[in-house]
Amino acid sequence: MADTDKDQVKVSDKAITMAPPEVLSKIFSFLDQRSLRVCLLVSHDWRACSEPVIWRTYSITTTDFVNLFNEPDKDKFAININEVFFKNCHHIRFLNISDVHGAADTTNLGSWEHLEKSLPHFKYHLPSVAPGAVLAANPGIRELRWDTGDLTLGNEFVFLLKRASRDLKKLSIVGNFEGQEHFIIKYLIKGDKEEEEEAGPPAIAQGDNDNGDTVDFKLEELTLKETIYSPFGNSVLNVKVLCDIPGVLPIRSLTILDFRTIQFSNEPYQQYDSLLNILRKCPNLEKLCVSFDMSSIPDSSSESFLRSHPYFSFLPFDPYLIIKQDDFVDVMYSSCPKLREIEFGMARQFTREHWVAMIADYGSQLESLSVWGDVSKFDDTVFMAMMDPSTSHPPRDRLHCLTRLNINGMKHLHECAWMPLKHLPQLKEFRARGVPLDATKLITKGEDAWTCKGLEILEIFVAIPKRAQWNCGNQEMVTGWWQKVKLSCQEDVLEKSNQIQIKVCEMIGRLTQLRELRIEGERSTLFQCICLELTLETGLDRLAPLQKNLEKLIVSALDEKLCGRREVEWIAQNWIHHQNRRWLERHSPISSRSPSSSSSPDKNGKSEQTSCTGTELDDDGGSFPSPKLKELIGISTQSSTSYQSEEEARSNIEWLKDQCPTLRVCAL
Amino acid sequence: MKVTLESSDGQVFTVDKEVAELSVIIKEMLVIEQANQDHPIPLLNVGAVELAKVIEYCEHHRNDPTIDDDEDYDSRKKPIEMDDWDKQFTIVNKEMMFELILAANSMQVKPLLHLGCRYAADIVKRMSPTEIRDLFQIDDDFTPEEQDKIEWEKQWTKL
Repeated sequence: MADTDKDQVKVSDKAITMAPPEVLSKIFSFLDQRSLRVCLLVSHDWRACSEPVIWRTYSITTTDFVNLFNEPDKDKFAININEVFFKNCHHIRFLNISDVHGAADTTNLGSWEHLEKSLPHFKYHLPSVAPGAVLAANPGIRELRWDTGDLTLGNEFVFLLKRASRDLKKLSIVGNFEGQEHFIIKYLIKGDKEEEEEAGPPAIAQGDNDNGDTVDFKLEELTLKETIYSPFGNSVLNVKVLCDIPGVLPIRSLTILDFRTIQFSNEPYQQYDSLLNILRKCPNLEKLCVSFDMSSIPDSSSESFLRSHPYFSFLPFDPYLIIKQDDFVDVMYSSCPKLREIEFGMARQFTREHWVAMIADYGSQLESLSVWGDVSKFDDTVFMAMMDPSTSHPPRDRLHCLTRLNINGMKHLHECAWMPLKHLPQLKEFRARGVPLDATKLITKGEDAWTCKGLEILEIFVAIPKRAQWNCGNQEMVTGWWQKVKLSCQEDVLEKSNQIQIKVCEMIGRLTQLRELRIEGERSTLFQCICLELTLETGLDRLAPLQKNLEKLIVSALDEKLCGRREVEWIAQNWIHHQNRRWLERHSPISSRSPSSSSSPDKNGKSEQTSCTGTELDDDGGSFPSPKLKELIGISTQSSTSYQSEEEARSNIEWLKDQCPTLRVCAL
Repeated sequence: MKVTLESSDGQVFTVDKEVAELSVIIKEMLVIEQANQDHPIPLLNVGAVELAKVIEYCEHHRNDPTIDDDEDYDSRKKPIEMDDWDKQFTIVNKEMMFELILAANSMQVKPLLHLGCRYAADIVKRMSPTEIRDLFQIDDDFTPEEQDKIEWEKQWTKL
């Protein structure tokens, strides 16, 4: 036995050396790109196995991508790049061609013209050859995201699709379609059979499914995003080809972004033009998104949320994707009965009846609903009926599957936007930017009013009515556009406001599953409300339980006072270092510090830093679990009502950054 | 129902059929050799020590749902959770674990292979090429020119 043991050890040492390639590949699938690149250098075997994994996911900028196919100049470097790329591109399964700066450029018409002038060859040199060649070398591609920036897509794109194999599952095209998208859709529905006859040589190797009538596309997700925002532009979704093509598009997810209108028939703007004509072709659809891409707008708070979108600055009129048609929802439901996720952005054309019908039809299966923008027809009645089925006629099921709800920018819902927190206990994500919630109302619903204990993402705007308004006349008056305030008691109002804030913080603090919290306010005094201050006097300490899961806290236009000396200390102590005994021992408990010591926070802070930064790394390196909280965004240092100077605020924030190197702090 | 398995060094193990069937290879063998179950199933690539360990793993995970071995599955995106038992199980020396990976591979015990590869990946992470070669006793079979070329390719791929 001893002998065999010895042998074993010997063999073991060589174990991985002799590991079959499939085992190496499997091991490599757990590695990040950096480690994989190390593996490249180990040996020929290791190189052969790590290379495909490295190339599996590939991102490239549009410019670089186009350059790959340009005639090599004298530039020797470029030739070599091409060589390496084409040698390896057959490994690519997830390809992302996009310009990092593309999104920003499109917001600016000037830069678009500039691009066109400076790169005249782009338009003509981004031909079928380029993407086609990549895809021809790579029949196994699964995901293709092509962001062409401002370039015009030609029907060359169809050639691209032909080269992509039938294994393609996700296709995302961002570009200026100029009506060419109907070729794409046509191909997706009909395949290349007809094209072959018309266009000559078949592009794809003939598969087993050649004889079948149906196209064996595995495409599951399709995203089309238009990039031109000019008022005279062609942001028309052109699907007129759908009239005369039999067959269906078997996708499960359809996303249409930034298109202004839809064109179905050959006559533009006909009455029948409607989203419905696409939906009729997609019976398997589970997710539908007809909306506008707001992701390029860095921080879109309530009002600016809508105005900052280039689309809306160009176009004063409504988008035209949905036609006022009484039976719209009925047709939608009979066409796509499986829908589970719905997003409509700025869908002003729906009537109240449409919304009611949509909730009634899809309500029991809906998992995600997003109706954002200034959609006034989606009003209190619709919303309340949705939340509380007992009030609806006829009575219907609860929205028992709904886990994600987004009503960003629907300020007219301010009266009832708190309801999801009470009536949808299964909710995981609730976004209500720019919808002022009356704090007095929130807290009068009782201690346990919020049933959604599993909430992971919350975006709210909490507003507390101002004293001046409360004392006016008969205790009831309209404050701005948002709120009727009724006050039953006449206690000291400032005191009361603090109590309200503490209560609200308490309620938020109970949502211990929160990963992302965004608290909004309205800096302008126009709206006659106070917002959460998030000081220790106003309930910050009630948010301590969030230390369990909170990763990101965003405060937006809030005038909060998180950058006070005691507040930053509290954050470090309760959200970052709460499990770090050494840190806690070194820092005396906050309660023993008097707030008046803030006269020299700078000095204190600095001496502390110099004394402990040296040892901190040695002592604490990895000895306590890394804190959950990673980002703290939007802290205001120049609060209008601030009790401290901006300088103090800045130095406090610097102190926080020093104490919590893992925390990203963004201060305004 | 019981199944007997024989390791490469001749040791015989008796296990429940459903336990043994976590190995895709054994499962297939059992289908083929249904009539012929008196003889132990020979596992020519697996030593007794490893086999015992593999069986220990299979016993514990006998009721787990099977995982799909999808080619598109990207392990980096969605790691499979390890439970405490698994963590305990992986506390063995490196050699043993590498042997287990090979055993799991030859027997096609997918979840164990998954676990082992993840373990191996954790070891390889943060290592330099030289350290990896030392650990696995791999010969550096690159010529200096090849070395340069790889370095150069690496540079521009900016992966």
